[in-house]
Amino acid sequence: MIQLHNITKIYPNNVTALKNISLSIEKGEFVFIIGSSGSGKSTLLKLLLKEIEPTQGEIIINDKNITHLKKKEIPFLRRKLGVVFQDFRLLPNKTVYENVAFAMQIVEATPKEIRRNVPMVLSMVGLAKKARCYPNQLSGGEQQRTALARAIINNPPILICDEPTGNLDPVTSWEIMKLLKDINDRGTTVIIATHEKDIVDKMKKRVIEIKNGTLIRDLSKGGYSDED
Amino acid sequence: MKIRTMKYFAGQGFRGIWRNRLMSLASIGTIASCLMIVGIFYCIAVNVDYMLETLEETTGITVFYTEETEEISEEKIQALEDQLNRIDHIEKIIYISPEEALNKEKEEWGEYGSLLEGLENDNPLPPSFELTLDDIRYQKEVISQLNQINGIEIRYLEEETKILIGFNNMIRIVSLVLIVILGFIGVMLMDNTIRLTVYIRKNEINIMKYIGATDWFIRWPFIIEGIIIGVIGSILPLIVIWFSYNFITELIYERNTFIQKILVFRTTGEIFNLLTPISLVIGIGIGVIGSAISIRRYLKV
Ligand SMILES: Nc1ncnc2c1ncn2[C@@H]1O[C@H](COP(=O)(O)OP(=O)(O)OP(=O)(O)O)[C@@H](O)[C@H]1O
Ligand SMILES: [Mg+2]
Repeated sequence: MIQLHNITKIYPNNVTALKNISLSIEKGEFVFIIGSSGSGKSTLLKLLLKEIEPTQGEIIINDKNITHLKKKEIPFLRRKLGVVFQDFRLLPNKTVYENVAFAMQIVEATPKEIRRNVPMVLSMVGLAKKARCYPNQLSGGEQQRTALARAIINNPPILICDEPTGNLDPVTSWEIMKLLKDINDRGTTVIIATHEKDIVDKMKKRVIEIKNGTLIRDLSKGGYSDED
Repeated sequence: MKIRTMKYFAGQGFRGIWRNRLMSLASIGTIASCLMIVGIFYCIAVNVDYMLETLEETTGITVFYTEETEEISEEKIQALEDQLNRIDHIEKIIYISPEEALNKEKEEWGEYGSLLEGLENDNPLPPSFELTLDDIRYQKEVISQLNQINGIEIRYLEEETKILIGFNNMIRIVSLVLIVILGFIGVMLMDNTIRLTVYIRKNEINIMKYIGATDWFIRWPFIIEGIIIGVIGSILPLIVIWFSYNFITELIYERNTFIQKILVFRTTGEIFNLLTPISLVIGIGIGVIGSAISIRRYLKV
């Protein structure tokens, strides 16, 4: 479903964020990308989202080579990729409901579909009662769940999360992780960049570790570090 | 594009205007003043044109022999007509016999017309030709050619025509310059207004991009914002001009019956037939061009 061939990313300031990375992620997988701060995790995810261009190598998503995508085609690639950011990126002047509905408006869903799907997804992430709240009236975990609801509302085949639990306490982090697992169980490919050792260890899922931009470990059912 | 999406764009457009109402107001104000000037000058230009047209019809050039009427033979009249026929820009030549001239005079004298009774037998009025030009701007040219014909007198409204033509040209130039300057200011202000909206919505736009909004989906609200500002900016002066025009023409008609022959005005309806689309096109044009510039510069979609 996702293939990287010899990907190198050198930023304009000559920082080499990724060096010759090759990896393949199959449909329905649940993958952690781990590594210390500055190792290149976000860079990898940004490449998938076409937020940045690789310096070298090729990226294939859903059998389509997206290495050189026309600008016009990028939105349609992004519709296949749900994204959750560490800082949520919710619209502050829209309610939880509107934030999620917004993602459907963008793909020109009918009002009927919006009225049907938004409450469904909100109850799935446990936010049915907070639909009318604004982001600043929500806890961090609730905000992250809103972001998650927005990411999956259009049923993207792939869900990408950059440190989805970075700002949350362990209990809340686990709830989010369980949600991600539920989403994965429904067939969505889930890719998570994270530092959270506990979670990675307990989930026993595929782990890809990056260090200084180099892929140093790719284990199915792995833990956070070799010693485990 | 689907209707619900257009509704969303329109909503966003109005919201954008409301969110930076000061700048929007400034843009609307500039477009409105630009179009106010366009409107005023348009009204003046159209009416001056109309007056010229009326002048052309009512007061052409009259030529006649200076000799005594009895000495003018049929052949001489025919010869003059042939000469007149050879001059460019003369649209119509009407021969007026002394009898017709007299009848016309009587009509104009109205109730005192009876004073002219009895002149039929000793008619002092010469036979003449009334010339109508295809365009009064050629008056000078035609007159100079007429001057080369011997033994005739030429009568025409030189001063009035000159003033009207000069006035007309000046209005055209002044309005063109003003429109260009104000249009330019309008576009610049529009650019600023939209830039502010883009700035305010930066966060939102970024998020939209991440969840797969197309570039046009992101651009449209800003274009709509420009259109709305343009429409408001063009309707305001239209309303003002509508009422003032009605008021002023009525006032002039009421007060100045004696100059009515020259001071004729187009009806408000005739004026707005063309002024409305012109204003809307210019207003929306400024709005859209301004936002398009801003979108290109600040909206890196
Ligand atoms: N836009 C950029 N321009 C230049 N250098 C950048 C840019 N973004 C990231 N980098 C550099 O690239 C390297 C990898 O950054 P990246 O954000 O991918 O790390 P990360 O693994 O996500 O770290 P963290 O866990 O702290 O989020 C870092 O050295 C960073 O300074
Ligand atoms: Mg990062």
